[in-house]
Formats: sequence, structure tokens, C-alpha cells
Amino acid sequence: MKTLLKRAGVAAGAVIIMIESVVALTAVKPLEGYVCMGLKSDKEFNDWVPGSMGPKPGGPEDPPVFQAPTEGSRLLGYNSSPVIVKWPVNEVGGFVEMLRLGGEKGWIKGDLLVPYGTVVRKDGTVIKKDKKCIPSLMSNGRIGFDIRAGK
Amino acid sequence: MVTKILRSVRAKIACGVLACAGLIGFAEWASADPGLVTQSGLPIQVQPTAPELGLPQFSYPAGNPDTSGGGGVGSSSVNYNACPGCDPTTTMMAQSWGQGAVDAATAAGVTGDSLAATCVVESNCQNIGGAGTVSGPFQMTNATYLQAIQEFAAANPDLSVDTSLAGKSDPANEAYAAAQYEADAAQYLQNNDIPNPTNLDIRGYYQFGQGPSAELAAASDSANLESIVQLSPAVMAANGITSTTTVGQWRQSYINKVGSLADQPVLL
Repeated sequence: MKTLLKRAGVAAGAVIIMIESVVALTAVKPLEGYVCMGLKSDKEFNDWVPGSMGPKPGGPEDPPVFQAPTEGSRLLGYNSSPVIVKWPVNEVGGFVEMLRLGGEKGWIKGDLLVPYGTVVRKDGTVIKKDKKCIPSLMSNGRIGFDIRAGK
Repeated sequence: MVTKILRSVRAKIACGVLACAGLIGFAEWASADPGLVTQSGLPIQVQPTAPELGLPQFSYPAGNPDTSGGGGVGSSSVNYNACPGCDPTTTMMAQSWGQGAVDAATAAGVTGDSLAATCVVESNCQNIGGAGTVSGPFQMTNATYLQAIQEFAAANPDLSVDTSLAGKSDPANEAYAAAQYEADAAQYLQNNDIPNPTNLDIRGYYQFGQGPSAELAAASDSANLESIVQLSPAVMAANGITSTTTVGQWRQSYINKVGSLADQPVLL
């Protein structure tokens, strides 16, 4: 009987472990007071160059994020698109307040930002992708993106 | 990240008999093959993007932003137990160059498991050719290999590294470049404030390049993959990605090959 109970316990444990591993990363709720914005670029990801390699991490391709609205302040890191921008926009001296994925407030140059999903080509033509992004608190407790199709 | 997900889920699961029964049903549903994508001919790199001077100024969006978020309903789940028998490390270590790859990983500051996961997904750890200049167990393109191998050699002057293109045909030598590329990926995500990136987190960088990798790592499972990586239809097809493939399905396709290694940290 004890053996049976032990086996049942092991089986139950295995079931629970299995259940624990079925997860979904979902957007729990939108981050009030923030919007997604993109970074200026004349490239789409469609512009593949087979065999090319991305630049070094932290290189000039991704703009720096500072602790305060000045380049003299501490560098927090770099940001790729999308950028989580404080809404309504808080712009100070050309820098715009933003939120990093770890929840830290930062400042990024405002003239690098475009509406999310926008691509600007060198000839000035603008492409708007049919997608939208809502900065959200995710089911893993972190900040993330709820990205949907549509305008 | 995934570890945190698991912790979160663990905290929520304190089920009684009836609740367990319901969850078992859910688990069976979630573990079903959701129509998974496959990856081949990888990695693909994106053209680096750069802010261009002189581009037109944009005004910020007017009115209230759309914050009708949520997105949890109907989202696909990801089953981290989808491949209980998966053991990429054993697969890699069964190769003559397996230990050399582990040593390469250590030198680059990444785990041997992360390289094992990559080679299993890319080639089942076989030294084979791929599309274009892609070759080797890590399926690197020539250009990516050359840049990464030179970076690795510069950072490890005490190691004997063949930085020529010919060196790519030696899997242990290609492992140097692959390990460096993974380290670069992890550093890139950290720069984007994604701490302690997992093998799943850097998979997006390895497959789709730097550009969309942070967005992909932070996107919900229900997000449309194409809308993030913005592949051309031809490249999408070559990667087994359809216009309806979700991020969750893409994550599941990776987990199906590497099992629990998916949520292991990349960096030592």
C-alpha cells in the first residue's frame, strides 16, 4: 500500500512538473502612460544582405540611453526598436523620457524617434507597416510588447 | 526570463484534485503540435540599421494612444516539456570536436550547452553545407564567420585560432566563431536591458539577426512573427515561417529541439 501511495505521489509530482512547464508569455495589462515608438532607419529587415553580420553590440546603430536628459549623464545602455516612450511626451533639451525593458527610466534623443512600424528610406519615402505595439506588463512580471497586426 | 515564467507559474499552481484534473486537460491541449515552423539555412543576418542624418522630422502621434492591451486571451502556450528526451549536449559531445566546442564556449564566456543547443537546431551537430555560404555544424555564413572568428581571436590571443576562411571547415574552429556570436547576442540583449539572456532569448539574434532580436525576446507569444522580423516572403518560406506563424509557435519549434536548455542562461 505504501509503495502504491509512493508511486502515486511520484506520478502526481510528475504531472505537476509537466503542468508547470506549460506557460505562455502574454501581455497582462498595458503600461499606462507609455507608447511604443520606432527608431529612424532607412532599412527594412527585408533588406537582407546574406553573409553580412550585424555591428558590434552597443555600436552606433542603436542609440544610447542616458540616465538624465544630457549626453554627459551616465550611459544606461542602448536601445533597439521599439522604444517605450513616456506619454504624453516629456521632452527636455532634445531628449525624450523613456522606459527600459528592465523598468528603468532613461532618456533618448527625440529626433531619432518615429511612429512605431515606420520605415523612412533615404529618398524620403515613408513606409508604415500594418502593425501596432502596446507596451505591456507581461505574465513573467517583466515589461514587454503586445504586438498586433493592424493600423 | 523563462525561469521567471516558471517561477510565476509555480507560484500560481497549488492545485487540488479537481483543479489538477482540469490542468491536465489543459496540458494535453497545450502540448499538441501547434503546426511548428522549422528553421533551415541559418543564420540569416540583417543589414545593420542606422539612424540617418537629415531624415524628415516626425511629430508625435496625436490623440490618445491605443492602450487597449491585454492579449492574453487566446494566446498560444509554450510547452517546455515538449522534448523530455532532448539532450543537445550529449549530441554535441558525441562528435569528435565536441570537447573543443565546449572549450571554445568557455573562452567566449558562454555555456557549452548553448553551443550544443545551437548546433542541434542548425545541423543536428553535423558538419554539413547549407544555402549560399552557410556551412558547418553551426551553419554560419562566411562573412559572419570571418567577423566573429577575428573578434574571438583578438579577445583570446593565447589560443591557436585559424582566422582564415579555410578554418571554417574545422567544426572546432567554427565553434570559436559561433561562441563569440552567441556572446555578442547576449551582450546585445543585455544592452537592451534584458538581463541574463537565455538560449531562447538569443535564438532570435542567431536566426534573424540583431535588429529584431530584442523586440522578439520581449514579445508576447501571440504576436505575429513576421510583423517583428519583417522577412520577405521568400526568406519566410525558406525558414518555414508563414504569415500566420506566431512568436509562441516559433519558440515552441526551438524548444521541441533543445528541450529544457531553452530557458538556461547563455552566459557563464
